[in-house]
Amino acid sequence: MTGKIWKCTICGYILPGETPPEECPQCAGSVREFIEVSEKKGLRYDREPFDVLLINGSSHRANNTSYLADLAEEVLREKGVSYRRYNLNEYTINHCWCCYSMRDNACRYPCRDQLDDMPAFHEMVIASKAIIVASPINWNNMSARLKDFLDRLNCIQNLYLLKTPGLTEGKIVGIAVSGHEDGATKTAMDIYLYFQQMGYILAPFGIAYRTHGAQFNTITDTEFLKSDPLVIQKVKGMTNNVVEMIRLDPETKLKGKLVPVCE
Amino acid sequence: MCRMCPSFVDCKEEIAFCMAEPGTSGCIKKEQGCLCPGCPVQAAENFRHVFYCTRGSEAGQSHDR
Repeated sequence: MTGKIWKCTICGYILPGETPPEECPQCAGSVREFIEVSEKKGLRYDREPFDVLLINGSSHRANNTSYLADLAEEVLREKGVSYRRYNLNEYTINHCWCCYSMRDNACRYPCRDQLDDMPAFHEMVIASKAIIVASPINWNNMSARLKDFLDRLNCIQNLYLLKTPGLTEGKIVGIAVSGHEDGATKTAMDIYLYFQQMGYILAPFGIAYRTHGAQFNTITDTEFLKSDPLVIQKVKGMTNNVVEMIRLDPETKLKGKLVPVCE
Repeated sequence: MCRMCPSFVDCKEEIAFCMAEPGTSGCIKKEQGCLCPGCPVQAAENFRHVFYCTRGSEAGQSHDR
């Protein structure tokens, strides 16, 4: 016994050992999903400026959607863009309390739920110039984990309804979707609609997706994705386009000039 | 709102930590929740920070940026 403790970031299974297991006995997650357990500290934003917030919205921190995020990271590094990547399954994000459904002005920034990691994500959404969101397709939709993240952006979007200054208009969004099934464009557009309501601009050719048919199962689809040049071309292209939009600096140029139109 | 907060410890000091300088409490050390986002003062003043009792006033936290 070395004293090391390993935790599956998908299901929370914990076990001691020198190394993590090849497969989680509880949820079948791969060895890549395990992290060594250390004292849990809430996420805090250090307030250092950066350009791109890169979100892996999958339940798996190191599988197919992660590969798309890896490709985006390659471009961001090559172009010298400052970024921060977060795999959402490593963080705690509560369901939205939907305070706005009690009264309009009950939902505003900062969020009333200060009990999880989302307040730090709120700060980083506001601080960054662009966001790139990667999601798997789960039942023709984004992951539930990502939906929780996006639902929790409500406190930022609701500022517009309260006629108070917005914090996100003119920022850029790019979207990457990976899946085994139909629904890629639906998933991407569902994600985009959140950002549209917050004044984000979808980068030109700002949606990259790749799906594959039933000829690939969950064992072989990773190999398919990693050997498919189209995946690289599309995700890297989308990321390039996000970066080029950042360089135009629409956030600064449009400040105070946009009329919020949102529900 | 301060007195209803799970983080609040009553040591007879002035509340409204968001407005005061430096704002931090002398006795509240542990963040166990925050009611600042729902406080009428927060909305009225359009403040953008939280946990004033442990992190400092609105002006102080804004200055940190």
